[in-house]
Amino acid sequence: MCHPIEHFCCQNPDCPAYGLRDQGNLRYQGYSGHKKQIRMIRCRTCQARFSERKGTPLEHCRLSKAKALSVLAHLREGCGTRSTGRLVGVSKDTVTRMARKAGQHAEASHAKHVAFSPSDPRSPAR
Amino acid sequence: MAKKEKHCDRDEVADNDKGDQWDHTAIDAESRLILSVIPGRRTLASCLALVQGVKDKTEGRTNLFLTSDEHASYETAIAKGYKVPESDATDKPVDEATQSEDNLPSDLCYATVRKTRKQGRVIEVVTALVVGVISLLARYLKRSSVSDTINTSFVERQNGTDRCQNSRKKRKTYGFSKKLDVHQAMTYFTLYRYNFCWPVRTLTVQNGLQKMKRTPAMAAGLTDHIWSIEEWVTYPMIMGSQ
Repeated sequence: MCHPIEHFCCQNPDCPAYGLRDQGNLRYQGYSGHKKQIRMIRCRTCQARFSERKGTPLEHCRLSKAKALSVLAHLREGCGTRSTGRLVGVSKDTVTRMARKAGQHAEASHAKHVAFSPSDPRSPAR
Repeated sequence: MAKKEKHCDRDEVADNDKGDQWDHTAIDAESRLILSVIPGRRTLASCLALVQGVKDKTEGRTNLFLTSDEHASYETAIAKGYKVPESDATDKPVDEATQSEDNLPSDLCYATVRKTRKQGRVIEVVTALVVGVISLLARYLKRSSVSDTINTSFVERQNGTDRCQNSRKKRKTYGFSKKLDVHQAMTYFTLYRYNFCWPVRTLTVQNGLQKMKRTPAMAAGLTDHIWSIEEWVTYPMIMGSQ
């Protein structure tokens, strides 16, 4: 699935629009990765260019998207690290690395999507 | 974590991260939404972090009914977390003061549940009202659409679900956690993903002629559909490491 551009935000910490979504400053520009399947995004404010995978557990992942998602799906279903590695066909260390990234992402995602604090400008729903 | 608590030497630095790890979980009983999770040792610091998490996610509202087990740190954490500052209390007229004797908001209610077991079976359940008054408790129980008793059933049921979804928490297997950071990461991943991706059977509603499955996030009004694992994972975030 492809997220609409409004769901992305500039990932450059030096950019004034860093972390702000739906500001109209981003646009898709080109592709990267094996078989050029990963969309690249450009920020018009700071001219930074980054992958659509930046800020997700799939960042810097050399596995195919389907395989990476399969690893996380197996973990979510209660498979252990080693059994996930055997079932998906990847190393157990790869599974552990993906679990670490998924945990970081889940923490950030929970903070964003389940934020009700009135001092927080983010909406409770995306 | 890594080895059993009874085998850990607390004077050994190497055993600091080993032994028992608890999931301090706050759940909204009506929507089953997990508000906050603090994996760690069963200390006051963990309870304080959990109460602060709940306070943040509920906009600092105090008209809440909280229940927990009888772990003493929860009471201390709630007393510290919801304590009304002295300056706020003195600014208000006496008749409008919203605080009790312990400087806690008068509309906050906290009760505990103690279960006595014999040969693994619960034989007695004792509830106690710790903060608040009986009339307020009765009002909150009447307001609740899911339960009319003081209980911790919802979080206990969620713990059961989590044990099935996270292989590290399955009993009597070799899949237990060996490293603390991976354990915490998996806890966050399984519990927070549950909010958006896991339809809860008892949240199903009748939508016309069809039954509509709902996730806790849908019940809480945070989203309008069940997220797939792909949608959850590929949603870009600003992560701490970046």
